Amino acid sequence: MAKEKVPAYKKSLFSWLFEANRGLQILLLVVVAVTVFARLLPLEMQKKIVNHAIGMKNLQALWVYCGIYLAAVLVASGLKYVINVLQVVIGQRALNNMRKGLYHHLLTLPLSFYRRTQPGMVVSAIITELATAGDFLGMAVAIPITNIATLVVFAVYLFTLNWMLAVVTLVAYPVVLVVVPRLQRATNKWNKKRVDTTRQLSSLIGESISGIQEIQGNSSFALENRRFDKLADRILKIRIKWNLYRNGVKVLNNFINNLSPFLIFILGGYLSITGRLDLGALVAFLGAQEKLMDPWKELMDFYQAHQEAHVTYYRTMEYFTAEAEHPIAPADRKPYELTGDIAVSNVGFTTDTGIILLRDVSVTLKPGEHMALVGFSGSGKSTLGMCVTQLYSYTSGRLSLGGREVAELTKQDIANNIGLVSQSPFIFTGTIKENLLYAYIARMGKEEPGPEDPMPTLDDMIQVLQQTGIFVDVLRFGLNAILSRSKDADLAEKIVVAREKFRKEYGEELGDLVEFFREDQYLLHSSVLENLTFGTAEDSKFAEHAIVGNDFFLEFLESGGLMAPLLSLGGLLCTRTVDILGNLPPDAVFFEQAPFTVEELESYKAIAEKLKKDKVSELPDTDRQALLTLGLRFTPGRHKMVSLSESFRSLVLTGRKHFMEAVSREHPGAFSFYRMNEYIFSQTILNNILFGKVTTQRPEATDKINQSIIALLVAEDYLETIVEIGMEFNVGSTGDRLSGGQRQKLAIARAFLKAPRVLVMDEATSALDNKSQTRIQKLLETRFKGKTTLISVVHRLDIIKNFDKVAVMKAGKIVEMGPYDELIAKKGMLYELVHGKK
Amino acid sequence: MNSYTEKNEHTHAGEFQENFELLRGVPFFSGLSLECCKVVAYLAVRETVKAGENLFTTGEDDGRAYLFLSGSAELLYESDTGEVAVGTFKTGDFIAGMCLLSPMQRVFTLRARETSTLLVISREKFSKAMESFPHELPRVLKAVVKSIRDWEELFAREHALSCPGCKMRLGVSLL
Repeated sequence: MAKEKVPAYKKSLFSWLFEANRGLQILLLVVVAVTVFARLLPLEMQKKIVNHAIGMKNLQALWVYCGIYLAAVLVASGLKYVINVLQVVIGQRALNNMRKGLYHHLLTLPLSFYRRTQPGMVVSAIITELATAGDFLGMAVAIPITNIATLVVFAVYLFTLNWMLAVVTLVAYPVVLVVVPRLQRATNKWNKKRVDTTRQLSSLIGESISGIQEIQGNSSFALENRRFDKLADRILKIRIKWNLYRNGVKVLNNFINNLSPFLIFILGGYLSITGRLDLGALVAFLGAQEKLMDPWKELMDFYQAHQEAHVTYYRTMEYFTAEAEHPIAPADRKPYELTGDIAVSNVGFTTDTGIILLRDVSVTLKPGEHMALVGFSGSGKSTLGMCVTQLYSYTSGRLSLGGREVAELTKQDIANNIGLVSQSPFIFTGTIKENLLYAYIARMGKEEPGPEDPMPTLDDMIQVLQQTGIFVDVLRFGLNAILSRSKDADLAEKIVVAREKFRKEYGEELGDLVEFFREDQYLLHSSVLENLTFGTAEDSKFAEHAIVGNDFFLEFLESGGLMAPLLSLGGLLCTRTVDILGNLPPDAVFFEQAPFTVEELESYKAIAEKLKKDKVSELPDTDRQALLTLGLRFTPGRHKMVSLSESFRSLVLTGRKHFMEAVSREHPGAFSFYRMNEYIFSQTILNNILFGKVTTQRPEATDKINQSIIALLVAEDYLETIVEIGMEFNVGSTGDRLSGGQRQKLAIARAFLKAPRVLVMDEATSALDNKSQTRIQKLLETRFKGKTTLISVVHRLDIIKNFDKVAVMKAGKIVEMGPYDELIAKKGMLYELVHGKK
Repeated sequence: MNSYTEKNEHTHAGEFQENFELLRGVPFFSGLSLECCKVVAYLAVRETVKAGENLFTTGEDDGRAYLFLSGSAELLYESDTGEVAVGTFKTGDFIAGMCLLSPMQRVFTLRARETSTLLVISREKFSKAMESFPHELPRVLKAVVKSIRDWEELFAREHALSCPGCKMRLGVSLL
């Protein structure tokens, strides 16, 4: 792991440039030197072509000089490209380092920093603002050196041609050097304002998006729009002014550049006419002067870019001027293995703004002791928990963990000894397993665990899943997984065996909750396509999205008399669904029972519109194909806007038989048909065990099916395998595919797996139902007491009876502390909290 | 556009149309516009339960309202001494509309007495529908308020005066 010696915000802009690219920089310098030479050569050739070749009517010389000219141009262009590539690499590397450096820095900043910082602002700083600086750093070496060198070389060349003309040509440039910096200062002022205001705008957007529920709930659109519009208008003004000054610099520069030829014509013309300058030299001079323009312009652009990057960079870094309150890892030792005793004496915590959250709190806990913190919200319970975990730095008193002062420990020491479950725990994008192992792996303090690091076994993981009660959910994720034909063939084979046992043992009992695949029956919970093919496509030409364009299949539909009814079925589904959903907001809930998705709504709306005047047969081919797709998707058990007619049902059943025959005859291997002794790779594991589909969403029914499945898996010894697959379930962005309760259970499991000596739980079970809450409480009492010191912030008072200590907090103080029974008997604060104020 | 009456060789209007008509007849939904009621009918699903199965249990927040399409169920109150039957619901009865409006723990248990088919609407889906039709919710609330008022008037007139304990607890319509 790279050690950050100097925090990113303290580094100068140019330090990033020289940090990582030394080799490239040297290469760049060499290329630049060659380029400058290659740029000069054509000028000399120009002169020679006019004077020696054309002037002397020497064809031989013309060829040679033109050849050299061409070669020089080719080399210069090629090198220009090389320079660009090097610039891009250097710039992007510097930007990359800057981003990493700033990101690594900001993760360590104290929580108080984030209370005044919006995520949107941080994102915009790292992504957008730093990019300006990175782009600049790309240019930072090549541009000034190339162009200054070119300028100098050309200037010298001009002087060798004619010193008088050279003086006239160059006389205007010093003017620029005086005026431009003044203009630039004004530009910088507006750029600073731009950076600040853009930052405010990013924050505002971030805030609105985080608070979207509140905004929509209060319908405060006008209010929010006004806030945004006001700021946006301010940015508009600032950006316009900023650009006015920026362009002022450019215009001035252009003017000077264009003035020079005028001077050359006057003086050069005079000299030439009076015979003091040959024509070839004048041509060369004009050529050289024109070539001065580009480097000069580039230098000016560079100057501006530097100023902009400077302003943007330092303005951005200034914002992150804060230090981590504690070192990340100990420099000269391994992280401490502390005992679990906690001593808090006279601890106080006052925020930056002077608000006192804790005052004079003292409490001691022996290793393995359990303490509940209760009190009204705002009484300081969570704050105390945060101080113990070093997330807040207490401002007075002493707080020690295993005899060592918490303020003096490193983050790694804390992570090595304390587990924290917060009230709304954060679940990261990734799989269940990744989230489960998060705290465990983080404790190692490495980017990735190596082969030598001990990892929890599957049994360990299953144990915590069971302890926290998320096991059944994970099992369900596993059962809903789709196996891969190449990777999971063994398991598939075993499941087919299990399927038969399942059918024998539970088939009858679950008959009305599951629709079993039967070759002679129409499946109401499967699509028309599945009913027709009664199998899974092996050939991609027969896959669901491709089959409506497959000639063999289309012919089959025509000959079976299925095409017309399918199209009219599709038409009916289309018009009726659009009729119901056409004007609703695109929410996935509305589309669960629809034959098309939110994304497809617009195209089917258009077709429904056409169907008002035209018949299905009159529609263009693409629309007919879309309707055929719809017809084939029709699943009577789900799509209730149309019902299945008897004649269609028998048509499909007859079609099924013919399809099997036709496929086996003409495209053998294109499908694998549903057979009791074959795994269906397009279906979930659950459907494969059932060899059918669940017909109801009713929780009781699914529970019953689950129980049977679990019993089977236990008997067959596949439970662990399926849970392992379930642990690969992707929880979605920030865990949005999990319920609130599941997220909390997963967070608790994550802390349990780490098996810390001290556990701090901040209303960690608040989103759980009574049953789960009680289970976890019992577990803490039986398995953790005496082993893990527990500080639990509790708002439900019915679970605190068996804690060793209960501390009642009020206004940042502990007002009462002792075992539950004692406090109740005292009839003090706790009694009041539990029984209400008398 | 309304194409429910459209006849087709291979399909007929079916379950959705039936659900729609059934819900139109329930006072709780009768105030809804046709557009909105169509969506609610579309979101409703049919479930079948067997005798002895619970539709919901005391303390649970299942968030579902039920319209009995066939069969019947018994409403039970869990007293300290055990379950007491306090009522029966049968075909045509609509029950638990209130829980579509807000999270609520069940005070009772509802248990099927025979195989019954129900049209079920969940709070999750119903609130999505209400979000999409912001003017409809007041109409539902109106229907709820009216049914509470009517219930209390009837109760006061027919039962409360003859039962001293009940008399003291009157006033649910004053909530």
